[in-house]
Amino acid sequence: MLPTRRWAALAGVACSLAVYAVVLDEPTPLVAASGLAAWLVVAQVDAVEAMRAVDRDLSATVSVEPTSVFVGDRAAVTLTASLSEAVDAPVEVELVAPPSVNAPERSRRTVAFDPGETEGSVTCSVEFPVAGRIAFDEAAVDIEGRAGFFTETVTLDLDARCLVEPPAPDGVHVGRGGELVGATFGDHASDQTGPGHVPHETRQYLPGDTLSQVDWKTTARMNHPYIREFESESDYLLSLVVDCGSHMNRGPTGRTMLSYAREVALGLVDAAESHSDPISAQFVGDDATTWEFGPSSSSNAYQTVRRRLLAIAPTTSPRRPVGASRPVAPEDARKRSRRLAGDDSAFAATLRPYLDDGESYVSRVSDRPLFDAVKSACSRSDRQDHLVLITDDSAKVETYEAVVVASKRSSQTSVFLTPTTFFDDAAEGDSAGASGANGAGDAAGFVAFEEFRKRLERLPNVTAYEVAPKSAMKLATGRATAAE
Amino acid sequence: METPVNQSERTIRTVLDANELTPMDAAGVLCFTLAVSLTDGLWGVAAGGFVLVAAAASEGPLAFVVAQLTAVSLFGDAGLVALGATQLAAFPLLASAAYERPPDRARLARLAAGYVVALGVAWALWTTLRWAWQAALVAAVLAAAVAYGLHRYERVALGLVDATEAER
Repeated sequence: MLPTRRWAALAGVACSLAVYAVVLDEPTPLVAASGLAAWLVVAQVDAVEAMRAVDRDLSATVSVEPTSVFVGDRAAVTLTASLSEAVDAPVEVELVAPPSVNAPERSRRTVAFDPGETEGSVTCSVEFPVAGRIAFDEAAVDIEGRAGFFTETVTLDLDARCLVEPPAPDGVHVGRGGELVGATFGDHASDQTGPGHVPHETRQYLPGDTLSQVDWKTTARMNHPYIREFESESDYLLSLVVDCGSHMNRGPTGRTMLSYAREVALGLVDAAESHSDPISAQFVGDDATTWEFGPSSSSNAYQTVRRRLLAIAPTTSPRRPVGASRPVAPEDARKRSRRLAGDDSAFAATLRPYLDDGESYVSRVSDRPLFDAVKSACSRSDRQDHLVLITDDSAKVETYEAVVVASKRSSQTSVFLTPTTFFDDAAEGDSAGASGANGAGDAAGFVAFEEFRKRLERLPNVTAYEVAPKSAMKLATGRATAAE
Repeated sequence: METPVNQSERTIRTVLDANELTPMDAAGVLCFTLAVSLTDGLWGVAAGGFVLVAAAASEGPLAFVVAQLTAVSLFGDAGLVALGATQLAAFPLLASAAYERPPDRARLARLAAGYVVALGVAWALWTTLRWAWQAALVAAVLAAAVAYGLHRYERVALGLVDATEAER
């Protein structure tokens, strides 16, 4: 219980009266001082009574919505307080914000009861700059005596928690047409015999086999020369081409398309390292290749690529001008042009100039950085290689032509595409103040993406995967199933 | 834009802010004026007017303090009856400062009992002890002890005393 200034002033007056009585040697001021002191003591008794009543009758609850957010997101915290019986004193219930959150000023998270009131609530918006499990477990109750001479602060236990997760991709879906797939790279069993370390089988000696191939133990046991064969192992050069143009920066902070692309790339580097595959990497920006490495299979190589992947940031140039339209091969264009040859309608006249352009799409995109990077990655390999292109579906023509080149020049090509439609939707939701999982995009956007992915898969030696937030993918596939 | 305030709603705060004269103020001023004018005639009436001004112009128990000071000025050598009558007449001023709204009887009785006890103790100390300073000091210590006792009681009642503090 803390006395206020008003109490101090009156106690001072009482003391002055007592001193006055001593100075005058008169009883009247002392009696007045005693009356005043009695008044202050009775006010204190009233205050104690009010404080006990508040302590007994006050209850409070707090709720956080949503209960799971990402770092930097906001949540609505509602404090509701009620008194089972009205008290004749002003009471304020303040939500004590944990130190790790950005809470509004005190007045915006305080429920104030005037004498006679029994219920109140307040909702405030709280920002979470730090990850962790944040507990709102305390409210401070300020009680003032009815005469305003004493105040007291007691605490009230609350129980509300909010899980704040770091802004990293949560639940990365890598699949084909909504079906999850696993990645297999590295020391790949070739199912062929040859030099290696893994025993495959023994067989009888045949002319031409070398002495070093003889399995002496089996020969001794069988009393006939036997040859031990080993399973030959092959290693692929993993050529990683990661698109880090400005268009990859779509999505909320920490959950951009590039973040998901990075997760996939890191997984591939780990797989390559565990299987001792040589690795080369190229990061492609808006205008040119921003970083190039390898090929190398030294132990430092994986670490270098991993470190660069973690530090990668999208370039800031404007979006690539190459159209996002569905690519039409020049051959198809010529075929359609021929069909329009005898047609004199206005429609055919309008369309004809577009189809007359015989220029190959390859030549149109030949100066584009992603196409260049893929071409140069293919040309570097003189052995079995596995080209991995990680990009999005925003520049379909360029991506398609790059994959066409890769499919012709690489032993195996994997394309990891992040559907733009998911991230455009998530970014809009985030800017509007929504939080939580990424959006599922619009149905048409997802269908277009899937068509493009299948088109890529039709190319020889090409496997195309979608890379997306698990929750968004689940929603999108659910919608597609429902539509069917 | 300010929210319009319902002027008819009377709370402790609104009354304190408005600093209205309450019926108890009026009763206190009247009783005090009667008590001092009986002993001091016109000077007593003037003192009553002075207390009325103090009650109207100030908040809290300032009118009570002013009344006590004027009583000290008027009563050079007051007898027990005059002193007692003046103190009882000033009581409504204190009650008014404590309860601007009509208080419940229990609270009023508590204040009255505390007031009477305090006056009795002060008079007893004044008459019993030889020196004025002794009486003043004992009265101050008694008041402080009671206030501190209430403070400790409140801490315990609200559960604000932890184990280590309780052991000390």
